[in-house]
Amino acid sequence: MLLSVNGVSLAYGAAQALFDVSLKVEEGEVVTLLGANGAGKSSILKTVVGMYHPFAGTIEFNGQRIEALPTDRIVPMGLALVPEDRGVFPGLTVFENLQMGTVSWRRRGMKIDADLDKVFALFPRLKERQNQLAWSLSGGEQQMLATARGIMSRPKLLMLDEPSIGLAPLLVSQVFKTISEIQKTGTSILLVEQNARMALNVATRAYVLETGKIALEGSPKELLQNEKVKNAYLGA
Amino acid sequence: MGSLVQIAVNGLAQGSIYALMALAIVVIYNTTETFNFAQGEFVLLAAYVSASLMGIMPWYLAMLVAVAVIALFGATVFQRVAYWPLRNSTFEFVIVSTLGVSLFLRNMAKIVWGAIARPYPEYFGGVWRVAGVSIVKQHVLILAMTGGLILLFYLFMMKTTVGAMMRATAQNKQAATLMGVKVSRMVALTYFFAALLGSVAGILVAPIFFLTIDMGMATMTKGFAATIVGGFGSIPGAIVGGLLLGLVEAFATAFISPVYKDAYTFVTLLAILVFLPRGIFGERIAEKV
Ligand SMILES: Nc1ncnc2c1ncn2[C@@H]1O[C@H](COP(=O)(O)OP(=O)(O)O)[C@@H](O)[C@H]1O
Ligand SMILES: [Mg+2]
Repeated sequence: MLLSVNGVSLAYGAAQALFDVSLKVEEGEVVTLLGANGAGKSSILKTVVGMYHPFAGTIEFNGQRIEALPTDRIVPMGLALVPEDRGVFPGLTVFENLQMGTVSWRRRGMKIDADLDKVFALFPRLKERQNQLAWSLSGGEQQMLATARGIMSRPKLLMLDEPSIGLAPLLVSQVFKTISEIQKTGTSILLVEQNARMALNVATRAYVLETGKIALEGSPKELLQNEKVKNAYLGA
Repeated sequence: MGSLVQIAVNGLAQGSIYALMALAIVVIYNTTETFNFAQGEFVLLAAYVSASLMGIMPWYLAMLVAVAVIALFGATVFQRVAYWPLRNSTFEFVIVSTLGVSLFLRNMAKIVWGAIARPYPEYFGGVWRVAGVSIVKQHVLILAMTGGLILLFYLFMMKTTVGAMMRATAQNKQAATLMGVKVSRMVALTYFFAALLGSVAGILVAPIFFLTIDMGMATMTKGFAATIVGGFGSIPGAIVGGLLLGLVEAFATAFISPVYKDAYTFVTLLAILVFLPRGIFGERIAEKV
């Protein structure tokens, strides 16, 4: 088991956002987490990566308890979050942004060329723009950069928070193609999406979150056929 | 003509001290989004500590030790006491806290070294005569040292991975944390630089002024003015703003009157606020370093 979230409850001050949430990701999986706006999807990812700490429940990553650890201890264990707002460093070049992705594992004198080749193969566009400052990139390119930076951290589990948000339809299908390619390199993925149909197409397993609680769990096939999912998330 | 050059060198030397202070203020602001009102006390401490050490070691060693000790003090005890406990509160709490530490340090200095102003040993005294112009040696040393220090700082920030980590932290703290960057280390490093810049300013200005308990506060105030003149948040702005203030002060003192020395800074500040409200370099958040 790579990631296992067990009965996690989270509150922002007095407002509870997550209620007894349990989910898991096995090695090699692409797990997708679906849910309406405000359901608590981002809260789950942020809690896993240690930006918030649950008041109940445990989180295990690669056999280690992490729910009480700070982010800078969790990330080096092989967990990366590409946040919803992408979080690229606007005044750093594309190259420097990618370099920041290696901070969690790189020691003095270590080379990052092979890692760079890997992300440039996925995103040739970034190679062309290596020396450009990140603020000058388009929205789609910034998403590529954020994802590439996540991969540079050599994660065992890459968590993507709505990578297709705000992108033109053509770019959206490219995002999902990339997700399949990342999976093939042996990285597990936890994918939060509003674009349920596309997400279910690439996923090996899925969860549906409703107002902070897990409402459904199953294979993409099962969920694509579920009446409730069809009505609420597939617009059928 | 000769005297114009002299005035300009004098102004640039003074201005480069303001630039060091302005740079420290901006670096702290970029990392922590707040101010360190005890920045001037690094100047004060470096001047007094090095003066005391000169009794037992050669002047250059005394300065080196003083600067090293104060830079480490800034990165550790100072930062942990004055800033770290308040890192999650709003910025005015940190202002009050650093003001408190500033008062404490000044009073400690008063107890240890006394309230009476005293001269600093002239370690690099004298004048050079070049083509009929007399140049104060200390001014040349100030320009060389600040120029070198600023260049090293620039290279560190722009060419090293740790420098890029500091810039990343300044631009997006949350994203930096997600990279595994330890923000506490970046804060310590930031305060190390602030204290280093302040203490170098201290040993450089000390021979020009008398040592007084207020020398730090006075220098910091000019540093603040320089950051606003240059465009708040901008590093090139801090440097240009400092140099400009130094020049204005030197020329106005020479041609108008030395009595209103400090007023010239504030007239310049007002003029900038009226005509260039965002300062010379204006802030472009996206390129904040
Ligand atoms: N930092 C925060 N402080 C307070 N409330 C928050 C915070 N982040 C999210 N919330 C609230 O928690 C709930 C879940 O938010 P979020 O996890 O962002 O949902 P989703 O990602 O599914 O849209 C929402 O009601 C949101 O308003
Ligand atoms: Mg969200």
